[in-house]
Parts: sequence; C-alpha cells; structure tokens
Amino acid sequence: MMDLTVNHFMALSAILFTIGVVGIFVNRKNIIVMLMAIELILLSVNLNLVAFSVFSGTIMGQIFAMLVLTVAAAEAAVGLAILVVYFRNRGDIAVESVDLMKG
Amino acid sequence: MLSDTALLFIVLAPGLAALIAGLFQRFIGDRGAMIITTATVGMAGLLSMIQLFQFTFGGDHGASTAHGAEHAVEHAGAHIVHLMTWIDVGHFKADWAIRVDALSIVMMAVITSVSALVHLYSWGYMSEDPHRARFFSYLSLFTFTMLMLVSADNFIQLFFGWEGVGLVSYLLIGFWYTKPAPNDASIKAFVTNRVGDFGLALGIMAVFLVFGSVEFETVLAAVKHNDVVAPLALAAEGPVRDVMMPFLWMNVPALELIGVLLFIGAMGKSAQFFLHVWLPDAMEGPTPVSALIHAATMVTAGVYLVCLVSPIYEYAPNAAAMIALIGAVTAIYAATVGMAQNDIKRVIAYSTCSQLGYMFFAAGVGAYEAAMFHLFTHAFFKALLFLGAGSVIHGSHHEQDMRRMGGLARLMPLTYAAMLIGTVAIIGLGIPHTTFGFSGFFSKDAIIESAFAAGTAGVSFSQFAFWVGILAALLTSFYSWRLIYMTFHGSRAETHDEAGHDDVADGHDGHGHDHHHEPHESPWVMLVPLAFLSIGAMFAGVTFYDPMFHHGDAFWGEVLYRSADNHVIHDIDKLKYKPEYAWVFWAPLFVTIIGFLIATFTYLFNRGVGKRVADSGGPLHSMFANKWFFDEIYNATLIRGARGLGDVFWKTGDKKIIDGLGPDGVSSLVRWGSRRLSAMHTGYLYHYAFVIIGAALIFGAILFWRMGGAG
Repeated sequence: MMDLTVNHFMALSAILFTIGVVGIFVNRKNIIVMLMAIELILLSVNLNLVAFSVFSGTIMGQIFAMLVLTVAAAEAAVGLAILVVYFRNRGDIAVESVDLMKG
Repeated sequence: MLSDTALLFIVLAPGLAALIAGLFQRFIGDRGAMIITTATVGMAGLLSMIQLFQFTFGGDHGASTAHGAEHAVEHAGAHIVHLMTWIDVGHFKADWAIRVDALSIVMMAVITSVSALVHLYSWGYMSEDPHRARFFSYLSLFTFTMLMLVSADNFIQLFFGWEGVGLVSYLLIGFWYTKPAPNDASIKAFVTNRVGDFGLALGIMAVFLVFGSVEFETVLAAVKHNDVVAPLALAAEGPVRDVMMPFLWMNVPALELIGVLLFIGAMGKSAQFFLHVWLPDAMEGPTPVSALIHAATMVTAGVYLVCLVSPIYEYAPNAAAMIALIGAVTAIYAATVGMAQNDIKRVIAYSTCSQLGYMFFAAGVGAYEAAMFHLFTHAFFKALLFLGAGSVIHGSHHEQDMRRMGGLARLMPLTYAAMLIGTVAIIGLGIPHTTFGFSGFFSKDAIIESAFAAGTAGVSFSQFAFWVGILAALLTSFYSWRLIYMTFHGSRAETHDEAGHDDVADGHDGHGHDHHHEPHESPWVMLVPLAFLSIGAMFAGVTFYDPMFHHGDAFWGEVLYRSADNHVIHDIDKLKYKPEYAWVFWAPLFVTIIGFLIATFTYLFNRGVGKRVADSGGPLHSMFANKWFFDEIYNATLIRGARGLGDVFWKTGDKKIIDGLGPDGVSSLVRWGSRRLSAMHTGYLYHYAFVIIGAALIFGAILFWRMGGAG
C-alpha cells in the first residue's frame, strides 16, 4: 500500500477545483448548482490548506480552513436567502432570465 | 481769472452732483436729484460765464480796443491747476489737472451754460418720465466728463473725458431702453465711435512714441520750436518736423501720421463723413440730450481737439488738407440730406453735422479762430433750435413728423419766436461790413471768408471748401426755412385729415388728455432756457466777433498756433475792402436769401410742392431722403462682412475646432467609451463569474511566473 503524500491531496483538490470551475461554466440553467460549484471550489482550497498544514506540521492552515468554512457557510446562507427573495419577486430563478444588470 | 476753488467747483461739482443723484436717488427722490444737479450745474455755468467775460473783456488785455490796434497784450500760457498724479510709470506721466486757457475757457462756458439751461429745460420736458433722477444724473455726469475733456492738460485725461462723454452719450441715447429703436441707435453710436476712438488711441500712442510725453505743453512746444526729439522706437532722432515713422507699409512724417490719426478720432466724435451715420440715429434720445450732447457740446469735441493740437496741423499740411476735404464734404453732404428729411429732429441733426463740417474745413484751412468761433456761436443757436423742436414735440404730444405738423405758430407763439431766432441765426442773416447780424452770420461768414482767403494763398482744398461753404449756406437756408414752414405755417387741417395719431411716445405720454390732439405752448421752465439761448443766438456773434476772431491773436494767444506762413486771418482784412473781392463777402447773404425764397415759394405759398417732389420719387430726392444710401452701403459691406467673418469664426472656429476638439470632443469620447464598457455588462451571472475566475487565473499565473516559475 502506498503512502498518501501531499501530491495526492493536491491532485484531489485540483480535480475538485476543476469540477467546480467547469460546473460554473457548463451549467447555465440552475443557480443552485452554481452555488454548489462555488462551494466545491472553496472546499478544494480548504483541502489544500489542510493538507499543507498537516504535512508541514503547522496549525495555521487548519485554522484558516475553519475560517473559510465559516465564511462559506455564511455566504451560502446569504446567497440562498437572496435566491428565496428573488424567487418570491420574480417567480423564476433561471439563470438566463437574471439579466437586470445588463448594461 | 477765477480762483482755483471756483475752477475746482466748475469741473468737479457736476460730477459730484451726478454721483449723488445717481447713487442716492432712492433717498433724495426725483425732485432732490433734479434740484441738486440743476443747482450745481447752474452755479458752474454762472461761474464759467463770468470767467469767459472776465477773460474776454477783463482789463489785462486790449481785445476790445479799436480796429487797427495791433495785437494787444497776449495772454500768458495756460494756467494749470494740478489735482493729482494719475499715472507715473517710467517716461509715461499723466496728471489729473484743470488747464485754463482761452480754449478751455470758451469750451467751459459753452458746456456749463448750455448744460445748465438743458437741465432747467428738462424739468418741463421730462416731467412725466418715471426715471428723472437717472436722467439728471446722466446729464450732470456728461457735464463732468466733458469738462474733464476740455480741461485736460494731457492726452490721457483728454481720452478719459472723450470716452466718458461717449459712454454718457450711449446711456442717454438709449435712455428709453424699453423701445428697440433707442437701443439700436445707442449701440450704433457706440460702435461707430469705437472706430474713431481707435484712431485717437493710435494717435495718442504715436504722440507718446515720438515725443516721449503725453503732456500738451511738452508736445506742442516741441512742435512749435521744432525741437530735436528722440522717439522711443521705430524712428530716428531728429528735429520733430522731419521725423519719419513707419506706418503699415509706408514711411510717413510723424506729424502727418499723428495728425491723421487724431483727426480720425475727431471724425468719429464729431460725426464727419464716413463716421457720421450715428448722429441722426442718436436723435432717438430725449430732445434735451440731443440739444446738449449731439448739437452743442460733445460733437464739437473733435473740433476742439483739432484746434487744441493746431501746431501739429500747421506742420502736417496733408493731414490739414484731409480735414478741409472731409469737413467740406460733410458740410455739403449733410445739408443735402437735411433737405429731404421729415423728422424735425433729424433735420436739425443733419444741420449740426453740416455745421460741424464748416468748423472742420475752417480748421483744415488754418483758420482755427473761425472754427472755434463758429463752435461757440453754433452751440447757442443749435441748442436753441433743438430745444425749440423739443418744445414743439412736447407741445404736440410727441409728434416728430413735420408732415403731420403745421399751423403751430398760432398755438405756440413763444416757441415759434425762439425757432425763428434760431433759424435766422443758423442761416447767418446779417449785413456784411456792419455789426448787424445774428450769431451765425459772424461765425459762418468768418469761415467762408477764411476759406476764400486761404484759397488765394493756395492752401489745399480751400477753394473747394469755399464753394462748398457757399452752396451749403444756400441749402442751410432752404432746409431751415422748410422746417419753419412745415412746422409752424399752413393750416392744421390739411396735415390732420388722416386721423391716425402716430403715438411714438413711451410711458411718459400722459399729459393734458383733455385736449389731446390740440398742441399747446410749453411751460415756462422750458421757455426760459429758450429765452436765454435766444439771447446767445442773437448777440454771441456780435459780442465776440472782435475778441475771438477779428482780433483773435490777443484772445487766443499761443493756444491757437499759426506757423509763419499761415496768414489766413490777416488776409481777410486785406481782401475786405478791395472792390474786386466784395462779392465774396456778399455771396453768403445772397445765397441765403435765395434759399429763403425757394423755401418760401415751395413750402409757404405752394404748400403741395414738397410733397409732390417727395412722392414723385426722383433719383435725387430718393438719394437725399435715403442719406445717400450710407446705411445701406454699410449694411451690405461692413455689417454683412463682419457678420460673415463672425459666422466663420463662430461656426468653423468655435463650433468645429474649439468645441469639436475641446468639450464636445472629450464628452463624446467619454460617451463612446462608456457605451462600449457598458456593453460588456450582459447581466448574466456566469459571464461575471467567468471574468472573475478568468482574471483570478491570469493574475495567479502572472504571480506564479514572477515568483520564479514552477521550477
């Protein structure tokens, strides 16, 4: 059995990051999926932080990961709240129809 | 000589009164303003009249001695009351001063006395105007600036007064500012005067350049003695009469250049040919203003200036010839136009223009005494004619068209008498070789005789001026009597068959409505000035003929300068008793009578003739009635030209180039840029996300690469 090295974690985190980014681009319909993709990006970053923290023997990365999680949770809450209100007002949350900011 | 305090009062008190009346009219009211200005100017008038009589008949010289007495004691040079230094920069020095010499004494007497009478007259004429305080303030301000002009001891103070009277003239022409015609007329007067003043300003600059000084005493003494002057630039040092100056593409004698430039200034102010167009239009102002500014005083400032710098013209024969030519042409031009005008004030305005022409050609042929003498007498009878016309206008409820008048002699006997005196004064009724004659006889004949005498001496254009003077005298007589006959004679019915009362008046047309269409005699405040001016029109000539003209050397002293070979005035005496020249002295009277007879036959006995001539529209009449088409020519060339040039600068220069590259260009660039930027904002969330992540990736990559790359 091979040992887990930092490279494995980085590879996993890179894969997760890519999935997140692609998820944003490919998905043009569902805004919830978009939010989830952003969460995925944040998680990949967190994974990176934690992995580096463990392998370098410093606690800083893990503390920062906690911070990121907190922010992500808050962000998800705010984002979903906005979505709810938006849905109430417009009756639709399809991404294509959200273009009020068009210049 | 008056004391310095009295002199200060004469010059400064009207200015102070104008200030008080103008600034504090809300506190002292119309009546307060009227009292304070009339009282101060009246005092000044009295003082300067005393000064004139003391100077003329005072004991210290013998101007009143019998014929043949050689020049009596000459007056010493000017008495100068130095008030304060105005400008003192390097060589350039100009003072505020009161210069008292023969010229300024005559001018002061004319200005303040006529002004005082006009002030008094305006009590009646302007009695229904709502802005009387402003009017009287302007009148006094005019008196002050005009006195500053004539009492200057340097060109700069003269320029101050010159522009001051121009300003007040503008303000008073446009006094009834709610009507369009006075506004147009005031702007026309101001702009036309700018042309002349440009010449004057250049002339003063040239004086400073050549002489290094703007003081009359320095400059004129240098010319008289042909001193060596060192011009500041452009010309080489040398005796002043030989100094040559470059001007445009030519090299001209400095004195000629200065003479011509100063005369251009005089042309503008005195409404001489080419720059005369503003004077008839200036009649849009109130009639007292026309009498004071546009007949008696301001318009004579040009003559005064020419006489003041007489030494320069004595050594600038070409400039003097130009004065004689322009003056003569103006005299005949204005007289022809005056014959065909129907507005009573315009007839008198053209008459003024014509008389100014007389003064100028007198000065141009070297008879400065004659010019100043005519200026002096003309002030009285022309102010009389204008105030008489004002009385007619006032009495007939602001009717100015002579065709609608007639038969007023019975209704306004005193005004009629005053106008008759003014008319016989302007046409110069009098018997040659005697002392019987009205003012105009002495001064106008003096001018005509001077021109003839100068002609025998071969002065340029003086023969021409003489014949023009004779012809213009004929026309003067004709149009003056035409005015009398059209206004005062005939029956009222024939002029009032058409009922339309052309109400040209503005808001002050509210008097005597119970007999609205019936003209009435003017109140005594208007008749008293007429009486005083009538005295002047009758006796100013005979009283001052000897001191001012015939034995003028003693009176004028060094002020009116004549070079050694200018003996025009003395030639007159030589010619006077030669039988072969008798016709010269009788010719003016002869043509005057002819003019009188023509007018009498066409406008008194056969009252339809003038109208028939006007209606037939012959080329000569239409040329005269349309003022030789000067306004049309100026419109087609200068005004259209200026407008076209303005269009080019406005549409191409300003709109296209300056605005196009400047504000408009920048703003349209910003608008274009922001439109492109805002087009990037599609509003789709994933586009923003794409930009955010893309940017993050790019910046991350740059950072990574900068840190030394993966290796």
